[in-house]
Amino acid sequence: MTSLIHSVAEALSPLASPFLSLVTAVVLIPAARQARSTRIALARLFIPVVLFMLAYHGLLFLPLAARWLKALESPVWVAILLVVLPAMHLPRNGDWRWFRLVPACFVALLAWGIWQGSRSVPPEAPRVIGILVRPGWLIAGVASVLVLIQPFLSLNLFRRAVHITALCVLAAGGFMLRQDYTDFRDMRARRTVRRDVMNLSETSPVMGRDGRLAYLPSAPCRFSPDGGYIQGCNMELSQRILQLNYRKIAGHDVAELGALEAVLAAFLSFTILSFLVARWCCGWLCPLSTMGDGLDWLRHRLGVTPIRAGPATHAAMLGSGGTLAGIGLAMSALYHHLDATGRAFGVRIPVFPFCKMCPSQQICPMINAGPAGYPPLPGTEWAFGFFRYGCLIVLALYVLCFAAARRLWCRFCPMGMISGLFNRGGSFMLRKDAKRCNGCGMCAEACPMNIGKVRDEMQESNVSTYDCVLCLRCVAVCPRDGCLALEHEGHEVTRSHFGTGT
Amino acid sequence: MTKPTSQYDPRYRLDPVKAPNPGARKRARMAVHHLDETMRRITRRPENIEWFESLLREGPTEDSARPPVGYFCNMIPPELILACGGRPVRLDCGNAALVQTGEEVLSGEICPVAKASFAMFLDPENPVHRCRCLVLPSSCDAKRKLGEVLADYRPTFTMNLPAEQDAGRYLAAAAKELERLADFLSRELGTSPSRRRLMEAIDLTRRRTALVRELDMARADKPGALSVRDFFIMIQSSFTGVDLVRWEKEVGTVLEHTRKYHQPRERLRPRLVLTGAPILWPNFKVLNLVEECGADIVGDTLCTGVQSVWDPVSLDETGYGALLRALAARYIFAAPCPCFVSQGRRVSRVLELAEERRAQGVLHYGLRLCQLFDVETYRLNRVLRQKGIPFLNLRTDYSLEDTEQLRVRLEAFLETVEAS
Repeated sequence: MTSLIHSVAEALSPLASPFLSLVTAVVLIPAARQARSTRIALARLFIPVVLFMLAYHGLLFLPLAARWLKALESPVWVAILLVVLPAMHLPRNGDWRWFRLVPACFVALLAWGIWQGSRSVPPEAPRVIGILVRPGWLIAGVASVLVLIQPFLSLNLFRRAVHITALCVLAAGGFMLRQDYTDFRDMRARRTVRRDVMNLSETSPVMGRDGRLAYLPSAPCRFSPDGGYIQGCNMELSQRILQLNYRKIAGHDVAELGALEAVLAAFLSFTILSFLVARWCCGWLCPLSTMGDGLDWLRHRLGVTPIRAGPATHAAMLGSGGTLAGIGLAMSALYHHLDATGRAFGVRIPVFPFCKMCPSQQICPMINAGPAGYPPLPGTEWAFGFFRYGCLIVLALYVLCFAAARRLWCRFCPMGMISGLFNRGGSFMLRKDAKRCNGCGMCAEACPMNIGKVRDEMQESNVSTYDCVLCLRCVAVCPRDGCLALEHEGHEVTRSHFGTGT
Repeated sequence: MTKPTSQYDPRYRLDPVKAPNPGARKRARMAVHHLDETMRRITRRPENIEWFESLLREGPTEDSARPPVGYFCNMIPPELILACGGRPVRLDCGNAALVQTGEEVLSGEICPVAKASFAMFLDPENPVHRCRCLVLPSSCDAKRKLGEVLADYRPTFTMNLPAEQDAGRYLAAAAKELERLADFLSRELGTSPSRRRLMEAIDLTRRRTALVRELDMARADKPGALSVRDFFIMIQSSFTGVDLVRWEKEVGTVLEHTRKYHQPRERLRPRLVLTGAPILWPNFKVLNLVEECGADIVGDTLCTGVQSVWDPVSLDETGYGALLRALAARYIFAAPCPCFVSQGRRVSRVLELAEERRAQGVLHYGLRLCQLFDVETYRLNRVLRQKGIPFLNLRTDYSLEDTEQLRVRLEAFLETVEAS
């Protein structure tokens, strides 16, 4: 039985490749949509997929290709290919009910996985361990639950649901995303290592036994309670690329080459995901924004009007965020110059200088440990106090921005700056039908990033901008049916629609 | 003794001119009666239409503790008046008989709406004198100057509008102006608008929008289900200060009535989009003509028609300042009024309606002496011609003298529409 499941999973492993999702989203689905009949559409969709899977298995016979392809595989891609892409692209007509079987199956698999996991847990373990579940089941199952509840929620409520779910996966990720009980025990053993955020082993990737990571862009931070399988910070990846010792790589050092391979594979996977979703992750997944939205929600409930920053502040945020990111990354390039006392050229710098400045590193450890989890402040000996005061200032900026100025912080965030490159030219497009626009300007009023283009653009239909986090508040608030819409690869995912609920 | 506001120079305040004129009053009643007679000939009317008509004739009957507040134009947010504890009553008057009385005192060279509206104040027995205070925007020249005249009668606030509908530049200024209006209202009514009350009022008007949209879509689908004149009466009756919850209930009945309608066969009557100056009860001359000539109005951009309530106030932020901004966004920046620098709003709405409702032609109602609408026909006419949509401009006023002339022009237009 187990070997049968294993061989089926092995046969279906091309589904976990980012390339299949990319090809499907960019080429196959648009081609299928142009087909004259359903039969031709299905043929255009499935024949290339089968060919791809055969070619994939063929390539796996080449050892080098196999290593790379295996490194790129991730359960996130299965969830995207089988659940998320169809949910976005299938027309919501009568046939929609057939598609609903797919997410329903994944939810059933998730339940089965939890049941299986609970049976493998020895009785002396705490009862909560029973919900251990394989990463693949959890990721696809969670995506499926979201797809199934989406029709019952308004756009704003759905976004909130996605936000909170993503935060839960992040918080419980290290604990729940485990292959089985032994894997869980190993993780617990790793966590007995003393927490020291400045030169810690705690921050080094806590991988599963297969050594693979599931990458999400701009979402979970590895400093969440045992970052587990889900990693996805493009800045962290950049940092790790810079930390590599390229001299050793030139000398064919096996360990260093392996590290380069892992990071590059992650980066490639990540870039494909960024192309497909751009800054959507900032608006819907990012744990920093979820927590910041808590502050924003409080302000909203109190009826305090948010501060609307002008273009000068925006430019200052962009400039300072970029500069700080540059400093952090430059410091991380000194990694292999660090001596035994953690000094490079006489200056003490942490192992992950960029992470040490990021508020996520300060907030995420508190997710399960509470205020006690707040990492100890670095002493003044670290880069002449730069980290002691710098991280406090950045944290204060984060709290202040979210408490008073909605998403002003997101103009500072370097992760978002990178994802934003895919806002225009990527898969998502915010479309405006200017003929339907009444010019009221509520889109700009509702925009947490204070973008004016959606309101002012009256000629071009593409109103995506570099700063847009695709939170779709403008779409939710637009009073004219069909004036604003979100398109993915030319297909309308959602559009503005007036309803009496707000 | 009314308190002068700082907007008008108190040194030159005048005693209000009042001229009891039983003849004019009678002629005004005759105009209403005349319309009632015409409307009776509509074949399919909702059974409770009499309730809506009585609102326009006599105003809401139920005794309300809320003091009425008169306002002009569709650019004054009634939500603000509701939130201040007032009852918003729109005072724009369409009674042809009152034009002349207004003309005698004020001037002959301003638009009939302003003249007729002003004439209501000349009659000491007119219910407008029950209004606690008055609000009007500085939209056109007539409205801009009417404020100071009306300030002699009741405390009046003239709300300044930006000349350009550029929300990016002027939304903050417009919200500031609404804040001033809110201060004026809370001073006059003794209640300040709280966030909660504003949101309740916005919720009320959003429900009205939803109902009107539903009816409008039903009509666009089957225009025979409800006469556009009855529809206008229903919409305009919601501006009389009636309790909107009660109004909603009655509209629900009409909605049922509309749903029951089965179009006997394919309807061959030409479908038209109506745009232009406000058509105010009881001056339904053009609407009467269109339906009598055998055409259907399937959409309009009138500030007294479906368009007046089509756009809801959208809510995102709920702070007091943000609510005022949302009101300004909807009432000032989304208004298809010709008093602004660009007429883009209205042209695109007309084009959208023509396409979406499969209209065969566009009818423009130009009110004589309103230069703003008049000038706008220059561009509207040419843009529509480029798109191949037939366009007719009917320039007229409240008097019934030119009815037959208009009928001839309209019939000729409908013939070209049907031929194309």
